[in-house]
Formats: sequence, C-alpha cells, structure tokens
Amino acid sequence: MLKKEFALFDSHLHTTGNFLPPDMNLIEYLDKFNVKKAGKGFD
Amino acid sequence: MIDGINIWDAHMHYMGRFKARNKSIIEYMDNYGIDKAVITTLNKTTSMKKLKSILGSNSGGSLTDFSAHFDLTSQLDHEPVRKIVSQYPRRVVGFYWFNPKDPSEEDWDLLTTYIEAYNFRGVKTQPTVNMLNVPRDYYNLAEFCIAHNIPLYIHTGSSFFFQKAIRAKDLYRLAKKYPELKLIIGHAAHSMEYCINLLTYFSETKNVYFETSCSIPYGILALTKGFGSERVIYGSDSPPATTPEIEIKKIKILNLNKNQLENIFYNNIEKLVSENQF
Repeated sequence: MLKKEFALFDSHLHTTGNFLPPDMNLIEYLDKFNVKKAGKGFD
Repeated sequence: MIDGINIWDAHMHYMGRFKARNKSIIEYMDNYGIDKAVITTLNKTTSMKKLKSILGSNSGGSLTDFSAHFDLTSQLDHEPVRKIVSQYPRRVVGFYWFNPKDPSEEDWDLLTTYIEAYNFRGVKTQPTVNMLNVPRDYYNLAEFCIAHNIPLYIHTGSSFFFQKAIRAKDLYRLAKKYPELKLIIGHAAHSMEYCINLLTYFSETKNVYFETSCSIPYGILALTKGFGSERVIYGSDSPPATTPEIEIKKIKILNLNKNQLENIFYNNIEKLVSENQF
C-alpha cells in the first residue's frame, strides 16, 4: 500500500470538516491515514 | 456485491487505461465486485497523444484553431460493446454514445437498431467533445429517448476554452421542456460549485438523476441529502478514468444507511434501464 511505502505530506488540509469525526482531533486524523505532515489551511 | 450490497455500475466503458489488456471487462467487474454494469464505447479521438499533438502544433499562438481538430458530426463504433452485451446479457447493459449534432438518417437508423434489436437501454452524450449546444441540440434525441422509454445521459464537466459552458441552467431547461424524459446528469458533483448549481435548479424536477463518477465525496453527500437517495446513481467511469474501488469508496465513507446504499448502488439504475425492454 502507498501509505506504508511513502511518507505522506498532505499539502491541503483544513482544521475541521465533515469527514473529521467529532471525537477525533486533527493529529489523530493524520495518524489514521499515516499522514506524516500537513499544510494546514483556513476553514 | 460488496459488504452485502449489490453493485450496479452505471458508467463503465469496454476498455481503458485502468484495465489490463489481457483481462476481459467481465473479469474486471468481478475483480471489483461489480454485479452489473452499464457499458458504452470509448471515444479515442481526444486521446492524450492527440491532444499533445494538437497543442504542439499550436505552440505559442492560434489556439482558436484548436476547435478545428474536433470531428463534430461523426458517430462512434459500438460493435465491441454490442458483442459484450450479446455475450453477457445478465451482467451488462449497453448505452449508445450518440452525437446529436446534425445526425444523418443513417445515424438515427443505427441508433434505433441498437436500442430495439441489440438491447441497448440508454443513450450517452458528450457535449464537450461533440461541441453541443444544450438544450438546442438535444430536442430530437430527447424525443427519441421518451419514445423508447430509455434514459438520456449527459456528461458534464469543464468545457474547453473556446466552448460554451455546460450549465446546470441549460440542463434544467431541457428537463423542464421534457418532463417525461429520464435524464441522467453525469459526473454530477465533479466540483462543489456545479453540485450547488444542480441543487439550486433541480429540487422540483423529479425526472432527473445524478451520476457520481469522478465526483467529490462531499458533493455526493449533498446530492443525496438534497434530492434523496432515489435520485443518486453510482457510476465509476472506469476503466478509462479511474477504478471502481476508488469511486465506490467515495460513497462508502458517507455513513449512509443500507436503504440509501441499495438505492444508489443498484436500485435506481436498475429501475431506469429495466422499465422497457424490447
């Protein structure tokens, strides 16, 4: 799988949104998808 | 079937980039858990190779000549799809990709033959590649589809720079003029802006359905909430554009209930193509 073979830098991420579960913070969300770093945008 | 839900892919082609050449389209469907599929032919005239060639010949200027490279009146070959439909009638339904820009009598006759004799059960159109004016170029074809009780599929997306946009407003004019027409708007949430335009125009137009291939997941959710799951249809545009796995996952992540999933993944397209069989 891609996520196991490459370090991922998500260059377009928001601080909240419909697909972020209410009981999960953004770092946990990143970890869930093995995203190592992210560029955080405005909401 | 995937997780107990039957899957009817409403937008597939008989070949494409994401299918291995040595695999049949049926093997491809089996690999992704696709029970049934609407299959149409593939337009090869706007391949990346040709587009690069055209753009290369226009390097540095005269891009207005770009439109001259489009073949506006020709029809595509449907024989490869006819063979698949004939061989696997329980797995595959054919849609005829028709160019309604000034078709000849022979073009209409061939379309009629495919619908009435070869068990094709819908018509697909691509207004960008065929430089179509919506709704003006669609009147005769809409009447043909109504007469045969088959759905009309219209591709949507961004237009080339020299073309008129495929506006939700113009699609609405077509749907309103023909309330008996079963209209499928393709790639309905290819952008959030387009999805919102559709939500604005079609809330009261019950004869229109929205196909999900190459769409934004949040847009698919908005269409489902706005129109109801009875009017949203799963399609992938595979194998040329993407894979079913990717397009199915866009819907699976929306936390829809079983009834909604059954409508989107199977029931809606089944109803549309099964109402009249010659």
